[in-house]
Amino acid sequence: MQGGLVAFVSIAYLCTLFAIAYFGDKRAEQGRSLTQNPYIYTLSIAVFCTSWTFYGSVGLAARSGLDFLPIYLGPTLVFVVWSVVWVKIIRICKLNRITSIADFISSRYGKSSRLGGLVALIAVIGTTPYISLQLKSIATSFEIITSSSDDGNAIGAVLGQYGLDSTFLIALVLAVFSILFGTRHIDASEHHEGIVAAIAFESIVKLFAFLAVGFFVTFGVYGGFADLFEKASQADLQHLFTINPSGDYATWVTMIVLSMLAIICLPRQFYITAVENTDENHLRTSVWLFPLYLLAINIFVLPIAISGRIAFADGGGDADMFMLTVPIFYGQEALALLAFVGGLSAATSMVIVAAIALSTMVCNNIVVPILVNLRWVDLGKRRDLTGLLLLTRRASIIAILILGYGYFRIASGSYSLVTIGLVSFAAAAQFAPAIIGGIFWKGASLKGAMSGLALGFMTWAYTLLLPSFAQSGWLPISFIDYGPLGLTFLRPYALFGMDGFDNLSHALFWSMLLNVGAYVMVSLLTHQSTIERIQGAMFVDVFMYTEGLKDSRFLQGTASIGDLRDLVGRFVGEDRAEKAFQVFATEQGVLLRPAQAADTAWLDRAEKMLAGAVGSATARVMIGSVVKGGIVSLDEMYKILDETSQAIQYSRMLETKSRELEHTTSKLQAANERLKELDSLKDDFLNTISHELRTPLTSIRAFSEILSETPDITEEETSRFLMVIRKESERLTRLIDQILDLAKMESGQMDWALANVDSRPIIEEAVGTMSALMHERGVGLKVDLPAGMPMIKADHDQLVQVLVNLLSNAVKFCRHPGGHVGVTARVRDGQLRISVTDNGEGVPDEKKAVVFEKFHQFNQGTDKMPRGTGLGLAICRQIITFLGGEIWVDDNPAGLGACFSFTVPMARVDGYFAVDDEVEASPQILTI
Amino acid sequence: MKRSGRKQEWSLTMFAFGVLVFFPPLVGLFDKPYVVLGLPLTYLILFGAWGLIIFGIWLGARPTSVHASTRPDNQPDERG
Repeated sequence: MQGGLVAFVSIAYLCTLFAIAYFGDKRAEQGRSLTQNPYIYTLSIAVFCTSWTFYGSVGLAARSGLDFLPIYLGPTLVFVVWSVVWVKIIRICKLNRITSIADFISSRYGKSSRLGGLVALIAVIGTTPYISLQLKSIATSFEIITSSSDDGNAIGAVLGQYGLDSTFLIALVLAVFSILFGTRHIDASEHHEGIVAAIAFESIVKLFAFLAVGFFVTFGVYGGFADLFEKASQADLQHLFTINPSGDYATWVTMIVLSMLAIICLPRQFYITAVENTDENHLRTSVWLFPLYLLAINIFVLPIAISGRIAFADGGGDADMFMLTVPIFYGQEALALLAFVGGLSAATSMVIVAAIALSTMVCNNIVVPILVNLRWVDLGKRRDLTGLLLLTRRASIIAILILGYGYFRIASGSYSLVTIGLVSFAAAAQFAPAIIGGIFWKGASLKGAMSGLALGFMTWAYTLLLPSFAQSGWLPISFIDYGPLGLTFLRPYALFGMDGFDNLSHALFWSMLLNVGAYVMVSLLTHQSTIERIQGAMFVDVFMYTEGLKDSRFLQGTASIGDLRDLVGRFVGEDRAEKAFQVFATEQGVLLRPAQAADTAWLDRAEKMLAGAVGSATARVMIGSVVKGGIVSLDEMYKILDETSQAIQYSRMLETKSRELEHTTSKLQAANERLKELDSLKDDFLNTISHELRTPLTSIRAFSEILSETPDITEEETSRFLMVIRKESERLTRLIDQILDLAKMESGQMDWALANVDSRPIIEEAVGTMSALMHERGVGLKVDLPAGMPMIKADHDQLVQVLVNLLSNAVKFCRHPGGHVGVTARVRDGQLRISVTDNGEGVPDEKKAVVFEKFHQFNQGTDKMPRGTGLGLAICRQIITFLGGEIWVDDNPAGLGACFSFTVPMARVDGYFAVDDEVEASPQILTI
Repeated sequence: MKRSGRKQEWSLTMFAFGVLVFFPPLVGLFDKPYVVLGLPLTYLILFGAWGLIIFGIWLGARPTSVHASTRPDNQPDERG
């Protein structure tokens, strides 16, 4: 047949698949699901029938008769006990949002991520030969059907230039298909309706094609079953009528047992039967319909095999390809093409489902746990992880198909279809003890499951996988015949000298012996952790929990609903999380309040939603990390604390916190000291102020009493007393004014009259005010002002006040004979600096910093009594600070005494800045 | 899904039947190259037993009638 036609039909078929999957997804989005009925569900389970069934069964039947049947009888027997096995597994999957077989096993044994990773790894290694088998069947069938034509491999020739073949192209298309329809969303438990629809369609196509060829052979070539079997007897093919009349049924029994285990444990079967199940009630139909499908597809296997043997009696023709070669032999090219499409559908359906199931495992049970463990901080910080998860799954799909293609190129040449398939079955069977034991035996422990799986898998690899490499030339062939390093008792096909069995029975015996043995013994000898016991009870007693006899909730804590929503949102997308939470709130009949503490129902729900995206083990740890309060199980606490990086982060945080605490404490102490000091200052001030207030008040009162009570007082005395009363009142007023001023300044309520003012008149005014007093006290004054005094930006009256305060202070401390006060002004760095010096007692160094403090009394002098209000300098500082300058005190550079200086910024008016800094030439000296 | 103990018993009985027919020693009894009614004996018995089991599963898997299970005085007969 023409290669172009075959290629065209293949492409058209794949396009139809795309269309169906797309249509299925669309319908699901509209809420009018195509796939949620028991018939589609059953047809999707029929993904069990791969090209191995389609081509391999006929090949096997043509060689050894009814030997091919166990592969289908075993599943039938498992479906007989559906209500014991399948309902339980499906119920557990739904309850825990299980996404894959790895998730199921890890969840059962305490949500262990290591166990999940091991299962995922075994699944990938075990399934690779099976995928390669499908690719091989596609390649071989393409070759057979196009071999009668010259342009047979036009496409192949083009690809051949690049060292590839059409099989690679098919693998690529299947990868694209799986990615498009299998990894659209991240919540794997939300079901892939498009995929299921496409797989169901493929199941119809392969059954139809098989029955078509069967009908043609039985009723077209021969006159019915009786005629066909009679011709077979005449052709001396009676040995094909039996299983094994010699009475050796070891292989037969092995294969039934193996296929019983496989129908549960093959990752793709588990995925399609348990994970993609939308309604438990669909099982009621599929449990009898699926075995019926198997029966139907097997009815014509023997007739086709026999007709092939008769047609190619000379021994020509590959028995594995009788499905194609028999129709071609009888000139039915269209029928052969239909058979080719049937084989294609059988192969592609397996590859698609296996790729999706495996990618979910690789992502959730290998990649995510590694990311969580190694880069917890980074993962925790990323807002949206949906993209990362999808990318991982897509990359896994491509990697898995490349792996399958690689095995196909390397190893599949030396094996028949059946042998490759059985190698895969035996790998999947290693999961059986952990699964079956896990749902019926509460005592099975994590260590038991780990050791059983590991030993079983290693034995499988040694007795089946490595020999297959040896036969392909990867390992020396002597490995099979004489064992490794010539250790004959370690021959992989006759371990410890056990021969007389076929390779498969031999491998299954040893791997199961070690697997089950380790599983049981280690489980009995080790203790279960709390979480294992909880999960064990959950799995084994799943009906009790779901049918309302026990409460299935264990977590308690103090995370808010908002926390949970954010966490889930990072993995499944914020919109979806929001929607799911709304739905759950509605179900619960409550309003969604993000700030509310999440109760166990919410935690449960959130964990399950997360489990759908990242697997149950990881979900558990993540929920644990947001639940800040009491997590019931101690093991869980340790598990979270064991996360090394997290522990480090915790201790770092603690360190920072304690440092902050230290810092705060010292600050508090300083503040406390300051408060104490202020408190004592306030006390002192109150003393002073009451004294200051009392003194004038006492005088006023005493003199007014004298005036009112003494009738014979002289006029002179009266006027003297009145003068005293007036002066004392003035002093009182001044004191109160100062207090008010200071209070106003401090609270920012002072009315300032800022303007550009000439500095000279200010100084002159202040000096003028004080000159009378100085003169009276006999204190000398020297004013030293430069020629060009600048304009400054200031409040005239307040600046006068500052100078008056400083001068009166100076006078206070210069009462001794010869005391004198000096005022100097200098312009420097754009500022006017005015200094007031005296030759009094000066300010001791330790007081220099505090003399400007409010209430600070300067108790110097011979009587050690306060001489002022303690507010003058404080007011000066307030004013100068407000004007943008500074005020300070030094020792008098000319000898004894103090020098109070302050600066005031100059007015920003051109011209006045031009005044030289050093305008000391011809100083104007005013001496009084 | 409502499950009942009778269904499980029925399932296990059918399972036992399957194991009996498909496993030795019984399988050896009819595994002979005879042709009966135009069909090989082994082929006939294996597919016949297979069909019988499928029928048995179908009987057991039918949903229990709602009426039958709500009446307390009427024990539902799962085997139909």
